[in-house]
Amino acid sequence: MIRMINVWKTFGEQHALQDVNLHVQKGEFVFLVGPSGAGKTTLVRMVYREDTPTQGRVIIGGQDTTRMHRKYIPLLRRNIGMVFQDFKLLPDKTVYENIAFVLQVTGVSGRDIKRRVRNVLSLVSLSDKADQRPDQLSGGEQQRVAVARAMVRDPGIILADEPTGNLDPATARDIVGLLEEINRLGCTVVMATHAQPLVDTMRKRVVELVEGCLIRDQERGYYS
Amino acid sequence: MMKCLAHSVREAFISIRRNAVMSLVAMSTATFCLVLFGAMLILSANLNALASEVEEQVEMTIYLEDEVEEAHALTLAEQLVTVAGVRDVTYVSKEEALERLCERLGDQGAVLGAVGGTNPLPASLEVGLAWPEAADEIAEVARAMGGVDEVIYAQSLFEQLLAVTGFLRLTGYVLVSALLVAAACLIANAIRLTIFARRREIAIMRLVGATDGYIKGPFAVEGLLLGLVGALVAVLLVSYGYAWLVDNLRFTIPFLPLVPVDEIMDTTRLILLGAGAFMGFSGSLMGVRRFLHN
Repeated sequence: MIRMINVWKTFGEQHALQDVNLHVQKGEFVFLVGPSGAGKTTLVRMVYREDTPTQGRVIIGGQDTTRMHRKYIPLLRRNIGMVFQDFKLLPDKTVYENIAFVLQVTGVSGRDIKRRVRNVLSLVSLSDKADQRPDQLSGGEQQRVAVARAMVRDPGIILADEPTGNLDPATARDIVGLLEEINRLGCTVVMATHAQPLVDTMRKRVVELVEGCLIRDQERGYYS
Repeated sequence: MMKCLAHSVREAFISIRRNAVMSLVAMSTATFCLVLFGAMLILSANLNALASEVEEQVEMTIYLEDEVEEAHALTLAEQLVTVAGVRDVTYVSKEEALERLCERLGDQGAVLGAVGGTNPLPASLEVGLAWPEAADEIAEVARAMGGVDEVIYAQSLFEQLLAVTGFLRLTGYVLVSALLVAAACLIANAIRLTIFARRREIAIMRLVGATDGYIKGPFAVEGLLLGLVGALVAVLLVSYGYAWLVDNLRFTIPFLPLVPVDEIMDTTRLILLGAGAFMGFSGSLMGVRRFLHN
């Protein structure tokens, strides 16, 4: 599903990624761990083609995104759901509109949008908050909206960049529980995180980056 | 396609309503610039009309020697008409010249008796010029013809006139062009402000896989609408303003040849509406492109 081959990313003199090789199979759940500045976010950005490698190749769903034309990037992203630390919700749209928005963008019909948004809202237990705006919700609820938005299109991959960074431990567990549930439905999940207790409890595949180098790739691994 | 267009129009109206103050600023800027632009168009058209009118009135007089007979004079006239830059040639006989002088003198015509009943005035050819710039060359040709005594035209006046009308036209065009560019930049900036206010939304749209066209659409429609509404207000102001000016100046400065309102306003309206739509549309696209490519 995700394949990185000898990927380097250099900013001036600084190497953000150094000769990274990674292969994530369809349906896997992978934790990306490492200290701040290790290159986790750079790696995630390459998967959704917000960045390109200085050297090497990134292949997503069989497509080499390194040489991908600008106009195909939206199509690639429609198969990737994203969850960020700062939620990235639109403050002047309601919960319903924030989720419906990603379906409208791809031209899904109005009736279909209604059905799919309702389904996904009930999955994240937010059906009763559909008409509220993000600033009326708690941090955990906002992140659940973001997860709902990421999964509403049934994407092949979900990328989560520090999704629990702004949440208390209990809420963080909730969110990761949701991601695990989505993963069980067949979706590949890659989650960059600092949350040691979560990684240690879940015992999923762990990929560790330090100073841009992939130093550990372990099945059923621990944080460190 | 239709769905995308409907989405763009709906979102454009929502955005205008949501950013009412900013939209009003953009629209007012459009109106302000287009009123100035319209005024320049009208001024330029009037300068052109004035310059053409003055140029048309410029004439050259070729005095003929006394012994030249009318038949020969007419032949000369026919030859002159074929010279480039000559619009028309009128033969004025000695008798006609005298009559004109009598008319001009009126009651004082009696003084002509003092010249002893002879006609001292020469016959002449009056040459209307199509292009005053050609005056020198036409004078050369005339002087080389047999029977021509003297060629009179206000050479320095011609040159001054050409310089002034040329300068006025050039100034008009330069000002209009500069204003057009300035107006486009001002509108682009005003629209950029509304886009800046929505930069988060644009970033999120890109992340969730919206195509560039889907993102640009609402902004393009918004710019187009703001430009068009701004242009409509400008059209009203310029139309009524110019009509008022023509009405008032007709009495204050009656000799000023103002271009009639009907003759100029149809084109001006179309140009202003077109310019408003184009500036709004291209301005918003310029603005949104920067955010898309960053």
